[in-house]
Amino acid sequence: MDSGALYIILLMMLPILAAVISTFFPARESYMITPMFHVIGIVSAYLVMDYVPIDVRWHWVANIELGMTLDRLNVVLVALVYIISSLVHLFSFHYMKDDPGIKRYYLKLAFFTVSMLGLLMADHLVLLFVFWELVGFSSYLLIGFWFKDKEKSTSARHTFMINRVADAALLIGVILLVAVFDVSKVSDVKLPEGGNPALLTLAGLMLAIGAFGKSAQFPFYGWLNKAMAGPTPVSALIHAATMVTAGVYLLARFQPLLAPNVMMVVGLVGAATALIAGVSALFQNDIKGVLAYSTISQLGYMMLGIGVGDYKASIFHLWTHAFFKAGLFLAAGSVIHFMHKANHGVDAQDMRNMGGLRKHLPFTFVTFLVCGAALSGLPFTSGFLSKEGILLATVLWANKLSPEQAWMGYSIMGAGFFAALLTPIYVSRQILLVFFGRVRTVFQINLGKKFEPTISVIVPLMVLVGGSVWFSVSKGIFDAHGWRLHRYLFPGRLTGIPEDISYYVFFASLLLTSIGVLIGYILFRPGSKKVAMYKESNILPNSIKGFWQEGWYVDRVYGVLNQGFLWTSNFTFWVDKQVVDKVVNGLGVGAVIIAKVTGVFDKYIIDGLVNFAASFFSGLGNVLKRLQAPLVQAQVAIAMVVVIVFMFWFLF
Amino acid sequence: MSEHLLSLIIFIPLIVAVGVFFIPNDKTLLIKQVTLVATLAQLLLSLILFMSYDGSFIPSNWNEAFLFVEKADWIQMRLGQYGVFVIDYFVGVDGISLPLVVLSSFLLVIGVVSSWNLKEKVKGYFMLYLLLSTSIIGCFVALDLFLFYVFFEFMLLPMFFLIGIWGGPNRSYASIKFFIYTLLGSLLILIVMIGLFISVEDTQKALQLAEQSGRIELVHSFSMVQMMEGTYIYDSLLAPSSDVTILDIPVRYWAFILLMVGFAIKLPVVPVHTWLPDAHVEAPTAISVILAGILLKVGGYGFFRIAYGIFPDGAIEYAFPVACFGVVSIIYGGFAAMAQSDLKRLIAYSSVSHMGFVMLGLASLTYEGVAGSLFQMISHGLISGALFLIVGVVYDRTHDRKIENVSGLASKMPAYTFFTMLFFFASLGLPGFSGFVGELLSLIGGISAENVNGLFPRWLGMIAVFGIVISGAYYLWTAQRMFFGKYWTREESWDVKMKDLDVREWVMLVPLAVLVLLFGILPGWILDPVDNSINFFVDQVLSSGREIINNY
Repeated sequence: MDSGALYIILLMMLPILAAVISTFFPARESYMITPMFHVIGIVSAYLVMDYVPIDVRWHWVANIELGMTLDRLNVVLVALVYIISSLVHLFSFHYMKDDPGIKRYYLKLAFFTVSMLGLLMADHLVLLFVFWELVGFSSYLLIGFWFKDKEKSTSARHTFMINRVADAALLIGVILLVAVFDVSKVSDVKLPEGGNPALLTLAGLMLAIGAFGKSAQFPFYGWLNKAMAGPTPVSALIHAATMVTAGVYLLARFQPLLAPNVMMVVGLVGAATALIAGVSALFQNDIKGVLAYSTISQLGYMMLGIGVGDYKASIFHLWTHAFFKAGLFLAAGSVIHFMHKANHGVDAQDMRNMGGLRKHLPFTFVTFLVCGAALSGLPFTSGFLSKEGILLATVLWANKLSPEQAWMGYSIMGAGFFAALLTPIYVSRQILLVFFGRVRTVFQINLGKKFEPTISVIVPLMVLVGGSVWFSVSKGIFDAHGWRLHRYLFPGRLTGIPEDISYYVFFASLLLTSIGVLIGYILFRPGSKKVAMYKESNILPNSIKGFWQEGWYVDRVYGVLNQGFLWTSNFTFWVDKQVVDKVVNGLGVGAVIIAKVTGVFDKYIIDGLVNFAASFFSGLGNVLKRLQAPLVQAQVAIAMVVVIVFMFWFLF
Repeated sequence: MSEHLLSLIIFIPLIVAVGVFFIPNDKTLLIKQVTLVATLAQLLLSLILFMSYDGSFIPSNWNEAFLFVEKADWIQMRLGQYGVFVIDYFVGVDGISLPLVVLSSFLLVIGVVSSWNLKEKVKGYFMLYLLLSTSIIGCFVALDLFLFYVFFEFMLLPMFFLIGIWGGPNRSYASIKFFIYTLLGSLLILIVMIGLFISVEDTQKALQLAEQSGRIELVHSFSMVQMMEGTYIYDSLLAPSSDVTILDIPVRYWAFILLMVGFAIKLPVVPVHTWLPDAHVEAPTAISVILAGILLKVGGYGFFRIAYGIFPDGAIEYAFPVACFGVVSIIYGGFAAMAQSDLKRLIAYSSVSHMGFVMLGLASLTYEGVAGSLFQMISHGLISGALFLIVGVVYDRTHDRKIENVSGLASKMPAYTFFTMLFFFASLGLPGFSGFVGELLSLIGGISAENVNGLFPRWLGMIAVFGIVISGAYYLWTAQRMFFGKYWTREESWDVKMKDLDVREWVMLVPLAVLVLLFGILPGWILDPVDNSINFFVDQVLSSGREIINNY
């Protein structure tokens, strides 16, 4: 094996190696070595940046030659996964330290990380699909981590099934591309020459549907909210920073193959999802629910970027989003941990029980503030830069569309901007409800104590805050294309961007976020009417607010489909019992009847004949007996036997 | 030894069965040990067979395709002007039968371990079991159709008794249903067999006999090699040139249809599948393992070797309906599985669904499809065998298999839960396990057939992909109902019995788990040595099938 292959394999296997090693030590402290292994991973990814591409290929089966590769795009994402994963491993040490299943937890977490790394490094569509499924599987394991809780294990199952539907579509796409178009390399996607263009469109659409599933886009987005049943650090890693972006990564890679119609679908779905989820986020009462819907919404932005043809902007947003969203989730985890300790009796995730927490969790508060600002797209944050990049690309794209398609383009653009207005509203709502005002429940602990004592909480939050401010990603405060990694990732000249449009977009997004923050503040400032009534606010199940709160009732649609599924399955079994088996039994009964008839026939007609023959022969015998010697009878009998045997012989 | 390797593998259990007959009834442990040693010897020899099989050659015709060939005269009859009727003892393996032989001997060992705690009528059980072992292996290596048929029928007999005597409460209904169904299948095969016997002339054997007797005679034999090579007597009943039609369908196509139906019952394919759930539910665990793991594969093997090998024109003409039946089985079997409340029935129906992939892949007649079909048989043999053992674990403890009667087992039996989840996910086609490889390759065949050889449209394959959603649904739902949530059992008396896996169960499950994972990651271990055989099979079926269709 050459050194490149070894490097790739080691780079992929580090997390599981760490987890396995730690399980050998009885002390819980041993899990502190897992983040250290991750640091090795980060350093290795950094060091290898200038030596890419390296790859390894091997024969798998049939004509399929699998391969893994490190190139510029995925080495950056590998580093990203390592960074977030290391912080999550570190944070989990605090979060899970009292859980009896910590061993299981770390193994599953490491398994996920390895699968995710494999997904990024896979250089064959089939291998990519393999890891695609494995990340889904490990996500299932982690969501259902507390399996004794029926609701949580149900959530895990629903999540897996919704993804499975999308994965079936992806599998069709993969097979079409690999077997029909001979496109299999992920790192080097070219439009195949010849071939049926309609079929290629179909293949592209199937890839897009697969991506919609994993990246929680319409109509699959319902699973992400359920995925929040898992431990919160897991949500930070899997359901915010890494796995859900796999769809974006896939489409970014395969963008050259996507037909214009498919691109339009991707853009439309992305914009629609950004809007749908943005609205739903406004009405959540669960602290993780808000973050889940905001993740869906941000993933919608990334899809929008792909759809309008600027996958670079999407990758940039993927990078910045990973930091600020992981930061928000870990901060939320810190809040939940605190709430759980402070009052066992109440739902630790329900914001109706929170309020005024900034006094108890100052550090968490700052994290939430900075990362929330980045999510809202406030200036001086990383989120501002990357979101502006996508909006700018959308405007440029809409301007270039033909007049017939322009209305569609401008609607998509409008949805994108409107979602940009919603984001700061729900972010400021959440911050105000959680950290400001007065607490809406009773704390049963000594509040003088510090609750963010350990390094395993402070370090991850600090790093993520650092990653969410502008200077860590870009030199220019307002330069949407100034990403430090832009040059490395996308060599070649930047295509000129009309300055005037660039300014319009800049001011428009600035204006929208300011308005959003203002609205959020007016509605939810401490002492406002809404906040005063918030503790008792219950949303009626069939109101329009209920409709939004429950994610536009997408669950009910799944429920109907599920019922249809069950109904079909019961119907199938009914057919089996009542039709197929009845036919079989009918045939059996028929055979029995024939047998009976034959029996009667046998008894009365054939036997009758035989008896008649017998009496005839015995009569004849009696006659013969008188004529011949007694031995004749025996001779006749022997002759008969011989004849019968011969007859059987020949008949056979 | 190597020239009689196959015969050894076939007949070791039979000889041991005779030996077991002389062991006194009450020495049950000895009987079990002897049986175990016999099956282990069989396994060892088949591993030697697998290792020494050199698949690097590319055969140019069917005569060269088989290795380890043994041929001996068995029955010869001179019937004057009708020629010489010959039945030979003729065995050999190619890349299609070889993996099945190894799989069978492996599962037969597992089956003995699984019946280790048997208490009643031990001697009879193990004698029948050994008889079954002989006939299973014989079936996979026979190259003489008559010999094949003998072994094929001989599987029925022990199976009938093993279910009918050692089975569950409703065993007589199940075993008779099983018997009648399969007997019907055998009948259809028998009809074609006789037709082939009178239509094919064995030129090779004729030359051989001519050396002894000095004159060339017309030789009728059951040699499958000659049948596949297509040395038909001019204008005989089943010759390509024959213009006999029944209901406007040429008689050759009828023969193909009869064979397909006959083996489809064995596989089983919807709508002739209903014997399977009943037989499984009543069969003892070990027999379920053998039934699902091996006997179903005899049906698949029959498709490959006999239906497709001898009637390639039918294979091409009827590719679309065959694929359709495959897809219907995948979807229908999956849906029916979801409606089950008995865990064993659920797994039986899932077998129907998974065997659909075998049919789809084979029908595509692409390299990937056929390889996938073969691989799916191996993988399903391991996975479904393991799943029936999994059912056996809970059945041994509670004498109940209802899914809704237990829940939350994960907190009480972690190792059991681990293995169950592993095999559930392997069966639902999670990558990394062998189930995925079989399904993927079959689906590649099903979707790409339109472009490769145009046998059937690609939407069929695309529908089949939906099967992976259904299998996910019923397995996860079952897992959740049985293993997650709070620990609870219907009867309190079960609590004491709900212990985690014992040593015997570990011994059975670990090798299966390892193999399922190994073949999932490195499927080449099975498929690379038999690569040329599969390629040859596909080329041969396509080319000679097209030739017959075009010329006649």
